Amino acid sequence: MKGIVFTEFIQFIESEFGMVIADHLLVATNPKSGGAYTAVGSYDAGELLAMVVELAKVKQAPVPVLVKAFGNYLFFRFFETHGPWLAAYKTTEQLLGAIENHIHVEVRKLYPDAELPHLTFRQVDTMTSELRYQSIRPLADLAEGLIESTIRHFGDPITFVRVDLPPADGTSACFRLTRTSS
Amino acid sequence: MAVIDELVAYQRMLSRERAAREVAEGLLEQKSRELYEVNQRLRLTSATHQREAYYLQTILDVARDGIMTLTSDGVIEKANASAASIFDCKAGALVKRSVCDLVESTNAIRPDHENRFFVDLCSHARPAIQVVGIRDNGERPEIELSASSGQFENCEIIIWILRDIDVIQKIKRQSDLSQRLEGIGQLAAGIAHEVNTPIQYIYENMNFFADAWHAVDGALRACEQHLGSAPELVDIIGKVCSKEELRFFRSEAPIAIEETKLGVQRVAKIVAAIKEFSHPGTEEKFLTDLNVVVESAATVTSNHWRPVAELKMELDPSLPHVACVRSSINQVLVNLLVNAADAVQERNQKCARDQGQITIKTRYDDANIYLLVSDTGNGINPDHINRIFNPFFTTKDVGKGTGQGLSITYDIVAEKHGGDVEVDSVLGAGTTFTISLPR
Repeated sequence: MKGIVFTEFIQFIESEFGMVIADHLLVATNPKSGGAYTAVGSYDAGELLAMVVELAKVKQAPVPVLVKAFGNYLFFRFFETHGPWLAAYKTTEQLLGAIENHIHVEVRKLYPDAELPHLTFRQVDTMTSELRYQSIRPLADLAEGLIESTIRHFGDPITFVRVDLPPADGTSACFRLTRTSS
Repeated sequence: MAVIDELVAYQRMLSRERAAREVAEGLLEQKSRELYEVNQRLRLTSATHQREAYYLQTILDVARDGIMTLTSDGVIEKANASAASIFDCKAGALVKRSVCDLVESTNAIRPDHENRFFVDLCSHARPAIQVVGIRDNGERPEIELSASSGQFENCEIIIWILRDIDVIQKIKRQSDLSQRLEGIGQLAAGIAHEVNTPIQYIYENMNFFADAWHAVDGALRACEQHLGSAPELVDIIGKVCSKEELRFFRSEAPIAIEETKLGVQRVAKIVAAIKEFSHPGTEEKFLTDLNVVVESAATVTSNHWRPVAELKMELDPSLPHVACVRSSINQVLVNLLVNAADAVQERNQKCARDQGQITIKTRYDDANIYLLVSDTGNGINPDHINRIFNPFFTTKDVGKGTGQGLSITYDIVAEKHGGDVEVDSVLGAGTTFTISLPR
């Protein structure tokens, strides 16, 4: 997994729960990499998952809730750091529809070895759209947090439901978005 | 306690950040190296592509056949120099033109389907076809066209390969003409052979008649002297032939016999020349007396030069025999004499004179035998002098010259005999061709 997810996660923990908790997670999980993450490096995704589990234990909170919260945080960080790139998109559907064929293409230019999730967007009708998430990692909760923040960012009148797809372990899910008004 | 925990956490964070920075710097160095190597590979690939592009462009530039690529609707995208040359226009001038403007279509093709027709030529591996080209100057060259197609970046690309077959057709016509001339030569040889025998005995008989007449004339003269002693014989002879008639016969018969002998001698000479000229073609070289070849060629071409020029021959009697293909040297001399006669005739007309002069000389030195054919014709324009040995180059009127004579002459002398042809010409004064053949 690309290091930017790790560095952003550590920053998320520091800003939400403080430096002591962030340090605790690294000490407690004793990652093989030593925890000296750089945004441009690549690390074992298991190290991130171990820290999430430890965080859930420390904060007595469910893992999905924490991962979703990280997803919310990650969206705003993306906007902070890559605002000009994302400024071309004016609605949730436009942005979600561009992830696979535009945003991921740009990511691969910088990180050719990135293992990105496969996202399929489909505009069902004027009011309804669908985003399918498929990954080798069980991070559908992270995707949900990102979608949630996207809708909030654009202020779109959209509600969505998530349907976990087999094997229902968070590696595959379908998000059905419905506009409540046009 | 909490403060100490936080301090410890800060220290560890600082240590991790330092480590992370070192890793990041290492990664940066690694990426820089990778970038450099990729750039090097890119330069190499780019140079290879440029070389290949140049290589392909060179092939296109030097190809003798015209090569064009068309869009599927018959518009030319690229055309090489040979293609431009076939249509007699500048390189690049063909681009964006429709092939319908450059090639005549058949009446069976409706105008709105012309493009499709030309493009479809390549669709089913058709053999090459002949089409008629359209040049901007109105000329209509015959062109052999073979077409093929392929896919380039998801678009159909049509390739036309064009060959100007006008030159090939001209050579074929010349070859047909040569074959016909060869047939005529064989016929002439046969006729000469058949005529030769009766001419021989006609000549011998005329010799006999000349001798016989001499005897008869003597007898008649004796009779005449003694007619006074036999008056009855005068009456008898007078009934058969008057005295005046007899005198006329006696004075004219020797002249008639002599003229007949001269005529027969001339026919015999022509027959001999025809036999000489139509000698069975062989590429083998034999020691040959070129003076004989000159006389033969002069006789055969006499109908060309006699009306317009006096022929002067300065043949060296000590000329050594030279190894040559006799029939080919015959042809060379005939070509030069016919050209000389044409040049003199043209000059005669220009300066209103009756006769010019053609001179044939034979000479030799240690290395070569020389044949010089000079005329007092028009001379050759200096602008043309470098092109006179090119195939099909002619300044004669349409239908009069094929432009092959001097080209063949050069080929025979230089290629077949290792000799040389030199030309010395003064415009308005005349021309001398010097043939040198190595001894």
